Amino acid sequence: MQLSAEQIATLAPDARAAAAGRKLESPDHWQKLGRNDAALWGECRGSALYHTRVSLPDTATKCSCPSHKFPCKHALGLLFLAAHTPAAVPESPPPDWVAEWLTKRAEDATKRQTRADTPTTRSKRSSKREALVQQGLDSLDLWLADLMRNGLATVETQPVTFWERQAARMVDAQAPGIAARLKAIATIPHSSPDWPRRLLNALGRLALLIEAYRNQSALDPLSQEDVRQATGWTLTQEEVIERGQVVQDEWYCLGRHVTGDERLRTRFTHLLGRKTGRSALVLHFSPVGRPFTEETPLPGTRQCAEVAFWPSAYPQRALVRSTLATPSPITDTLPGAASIGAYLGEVARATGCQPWLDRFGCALLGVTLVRTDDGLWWVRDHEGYGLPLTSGEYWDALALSGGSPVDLAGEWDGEVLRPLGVRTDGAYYNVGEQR
Amino acid sequence: MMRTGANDNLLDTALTGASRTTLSPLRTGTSLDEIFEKSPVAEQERALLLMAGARAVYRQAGVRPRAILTAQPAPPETAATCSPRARDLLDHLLSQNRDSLLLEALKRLHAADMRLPFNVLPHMLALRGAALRDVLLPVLGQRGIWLAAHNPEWQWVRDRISPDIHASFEVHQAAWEDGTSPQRLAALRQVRARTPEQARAWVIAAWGAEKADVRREMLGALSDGLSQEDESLLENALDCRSSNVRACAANLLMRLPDSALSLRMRERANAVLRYEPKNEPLRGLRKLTGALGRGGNRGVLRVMPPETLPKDWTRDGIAAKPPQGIGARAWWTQQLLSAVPLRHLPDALGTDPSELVHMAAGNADWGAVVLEGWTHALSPDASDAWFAALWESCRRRHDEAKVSEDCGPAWRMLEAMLTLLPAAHLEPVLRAELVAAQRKPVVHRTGATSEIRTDFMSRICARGLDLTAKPWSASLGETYLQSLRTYLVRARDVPSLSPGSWMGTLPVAAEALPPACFDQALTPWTLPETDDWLWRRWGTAVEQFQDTIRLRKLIAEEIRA
Repeated sequence: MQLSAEQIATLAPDARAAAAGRKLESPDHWQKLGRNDAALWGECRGSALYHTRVSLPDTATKCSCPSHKFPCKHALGLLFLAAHTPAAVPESPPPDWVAEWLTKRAEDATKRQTRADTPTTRSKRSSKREALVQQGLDSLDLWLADLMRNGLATVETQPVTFWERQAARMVDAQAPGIAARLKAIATIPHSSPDWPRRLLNALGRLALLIEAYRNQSALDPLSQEDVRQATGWTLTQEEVIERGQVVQDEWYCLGRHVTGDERLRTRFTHLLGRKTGRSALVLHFSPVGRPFTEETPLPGTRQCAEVAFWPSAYPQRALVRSTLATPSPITDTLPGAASIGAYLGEVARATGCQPWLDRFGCALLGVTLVRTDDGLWWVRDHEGYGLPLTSGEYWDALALSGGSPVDLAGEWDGEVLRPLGVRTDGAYYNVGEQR
Repeated sequence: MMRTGANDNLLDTALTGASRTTLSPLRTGTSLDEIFEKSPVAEQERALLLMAGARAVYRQAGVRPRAILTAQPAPPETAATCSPRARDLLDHLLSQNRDSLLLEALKRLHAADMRLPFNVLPHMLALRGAALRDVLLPVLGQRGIWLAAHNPEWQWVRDRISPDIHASFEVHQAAWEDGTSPQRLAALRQVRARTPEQARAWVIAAWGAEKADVRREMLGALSDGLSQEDESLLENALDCRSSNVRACAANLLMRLPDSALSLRMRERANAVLRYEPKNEPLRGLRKLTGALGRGGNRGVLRVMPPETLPKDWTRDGIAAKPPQGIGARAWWTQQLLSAVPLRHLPDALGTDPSELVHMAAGNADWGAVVLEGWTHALSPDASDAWFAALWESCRRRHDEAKVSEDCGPAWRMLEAMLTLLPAAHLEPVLRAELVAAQRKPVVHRTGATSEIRTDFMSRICARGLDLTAKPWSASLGETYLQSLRTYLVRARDVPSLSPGSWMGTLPVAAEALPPACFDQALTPWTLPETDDWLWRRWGTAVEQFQDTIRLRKLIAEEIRA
């Protein structure tokens, strides 16, 4: 295991759990420690004796303690211990309680891959929904036309509920993709001096989507998939694996960030393939107040894995189908773009294929971080061109780079770049909260 | 992509409303217009939205980066940095706000000629507190100094690297002549540090025009670089009407052993105290003192305070009004004796410190006052004999006190002495206290409703451990751990024990034990397994103690040359 303490800390559900884990990193607290290629394990002396185990390829954990935090402090302590004092965790055959767990996990994984809905129930459900979505979009179209007839100036005095009511109607119409766009639009009025322009752009793109959905039969099959996904038709994991591309590569996990509303949080994890140079975006969801439970590639690591892309004219959203090796920290240069111009060229190509994309993984090589006197932050390439960073402070990244060229990873939304990581001096450092 | 405004007819139309617009043809102003011409959209509202949407996508795809000026990169580093494990440790200490451990780690880093790793710099630069910043400065490296220059909140780095001492004299002079009060005093202090006579000249010139508050502040600034040359200015200040200014001037003059004021104080002390060697008419008293301490031929210390406060005493800074709980004459005497360095007394009175202290203790009327005055006159450079004699005497008074009110003044004196004791004296005292604690019986203090059993540690010990410089010596650390273990074994059998001082010393010891004691501190501590609240608290306290020791052990292992 080669994970650094920083990477292990990103596994923790919160900072308190990470700190509690740190306290258990001394071998004094443990007995019967052991490891093999697949797992780490040990018995931790707490208020009782707890059996703690960690599966290595995906850092999934299990512990006999009653904690509802996941992973618990014992599992984190075991990981810290293995990272800092590897000699204390000797190679050994797993005891029964570890072997049984590993076998059960392997069985579950096989079961998941074979389980699927029967095709007939699926099609019955979907034809009923198809009608609902159509009705919903028709009524939204009328509402939009009404809005444009009266003019956006009338929107200025409308409360947020003006938009949220429409969003709720789209949820009822089972078009959650449209609903999410409306919720995002609700935040635009008064958010910046040029909000009318941004509002018009967003409404226009929404209208384009509705238009495309209506005329989907005229589109090629992959663009149809894009339009349907953007509207809110979801695919099960099995469907993704069955219908999308599965790409095997060594995936660099550049970093992740979380956005959310009052009910649901979404975590965006950006991956970049070393061989293919492809960008993959993994989404996880969790109700507010609950941690994300999915095992995910750890920010700052690279790992051989099979990644399945959702079918698309420009495949971007993906899930990790299976990991093929244990993760190791990123040390070498990123498989990124040599200049900002080259990167934006690729963004233009992606937008041309799939106009509903609104975020793009980004890795720029040999760029410098610049803070201008007005307090704005930029990333500047060797040709002298720059992109603005998301408003915020990036002192950590500036400290690491010292104003010299580094590899910088982030997420581009068409207007600003959100930094996620910096690679310099043979090490990769995440920027921003990675939890 | 920020083209908005007058010539954006899509946005203008959208704002006013498609219904109110005269039918000027909608255009995106891009090559998209060809598509819309080929397949026109019937309704105006829909056309407007679709054109705006298409144009937004078009512009997103065609976004162009802006030319950005380059910035000066950080100069290359000269020092090496610490191990990744140490870096991780520093991160941990920062996130847990363990400032004192951080201080220790930074000092070790400096001693090993290393610099901080880059990634912790922003958090380190944001730290507050002069002690931390002092040790931070030499380990910031080129990168840290470069980084600090980018953020106004980290200006302190530049201030410390090139402090105002290097600012030219003219700048200070301008500040002195035209500045606000704080600016003037800052300039005065700066100049005093380099050219004390110039600062003195400024004060002399300004004296007549200033109010009492300012006068006092100006005298305070002269405390640095004080010399005999300042005497006439200070002597003059004794005629000020403000008692604060007088006290301040008197304090400075007392620090000049050859000043007229110091001589006057000594003369007054000589008049107030008289030692009379073995004196036949006082045989009765001799018997008494012989019974109290060592026998033999003893003289008498006579104390003769003035009946009324002389004018010239007031002028020399002695306050007339006593604080509560002490008589006026005692108060004057105590102040007077505090002002006379102890080294003058044996010659002036004709006997040695131990005899003097012994005699003072035997003086029922004024002895306590004299001893307290002498204790305040103690300075770190006073002779061992004085320390030993005064300590012994206060100690006895403290231990013999029956009621807690009686031991109050003695404890105050002991505490004052503890802070003055040079390390070479403090440590043996503490070791002896710790050893004694192992044998001490449990003390019962019975109150009206409940019985409290305090632990066996004296407050001298608890306070002294607190005052001892960190890290402790190995022998003090070993004695401490040994006594603590003995205490924990003995305390098991004591019913309804109170937490007391021992538990309070654990956090202090955790940060002060030297590396040589780490292994002994980490060997398991056996506490009784009971649900008793006190022992549960002990369990937590010991756990925290060991956590801290483990961290410090790691610091010592990971950060070294």
